[in-house]
Amino acid sequence: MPVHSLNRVDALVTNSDWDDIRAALSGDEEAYGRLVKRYEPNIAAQVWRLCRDKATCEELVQEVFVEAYFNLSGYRGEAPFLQWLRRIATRVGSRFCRKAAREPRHVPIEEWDQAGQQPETLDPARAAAMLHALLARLAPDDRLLLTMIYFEGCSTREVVDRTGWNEGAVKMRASRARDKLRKIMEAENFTEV
Amino acid sequence: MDALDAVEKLAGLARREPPPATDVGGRVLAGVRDRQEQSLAPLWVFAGSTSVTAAAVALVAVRAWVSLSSWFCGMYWSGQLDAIIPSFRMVMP
Repeated sequence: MPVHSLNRVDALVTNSDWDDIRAALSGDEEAYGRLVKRYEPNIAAQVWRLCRDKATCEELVQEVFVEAYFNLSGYRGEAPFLQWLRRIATRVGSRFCRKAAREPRHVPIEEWDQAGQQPETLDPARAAAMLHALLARLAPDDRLLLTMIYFEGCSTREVVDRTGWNEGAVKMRASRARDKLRKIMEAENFTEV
Repeated sequence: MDALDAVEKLAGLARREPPPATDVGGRVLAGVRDRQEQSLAPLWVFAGSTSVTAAAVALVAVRAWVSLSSWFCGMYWSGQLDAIIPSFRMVMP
């Protein structure tokens, strides 16, 4: 792999990251392994919100880091390495959502009424499972967007950075996606909780 | 409560859920090697098909040359060329 484009040392990128990136570009697999180990929990947390299945989550994390490896020479250090990885994870997540939409599964929300009584007492894992099931009913892009907003608490700016969509498009799409979500909930009598 | 308010509440709780621990370091490196090998596969296919085509063309050329040369030599030794060449000389100035 060519070792070009790594002349810029930016304060946004830690020295240990730079050293490992340079070494990985020179073919040092151990160095890339260190990068994987350092950022794997963050990427796993991101893709977990989309799939909620450990085996699928591991596959997606693997896909993110393999794709990152082959694009490493294009990393300019203009943003922290994790931010760059998150963009790749968003692309991988988007592909996952499209694939999942082609193989539709009905994900029941059995416990909605129960949750509606006292949502604050709900177990976080159950709440996450319910929210995931709800968002899985949306179209792929809407699902991806609302997963970032609701599950990860991403701001519009962060969504723009991860997806490459412009700010106006993100706001409009988020508004429409919320409307669709509301309609789905109304159609299934989830309005009164 | 509005449906989206309920979703906001649910999201607040859902964010507290810890993701599962994963360990994909070894699989990532294996995946990288696999993909490197896959990216070389088309080169092997191209090299293989090119060399087969080249060998076939060479074989046809050699066979054509062998058959034509024997025909040519046959014509020469049977004296037919001696008859043909003067007729060309008559046509050409």
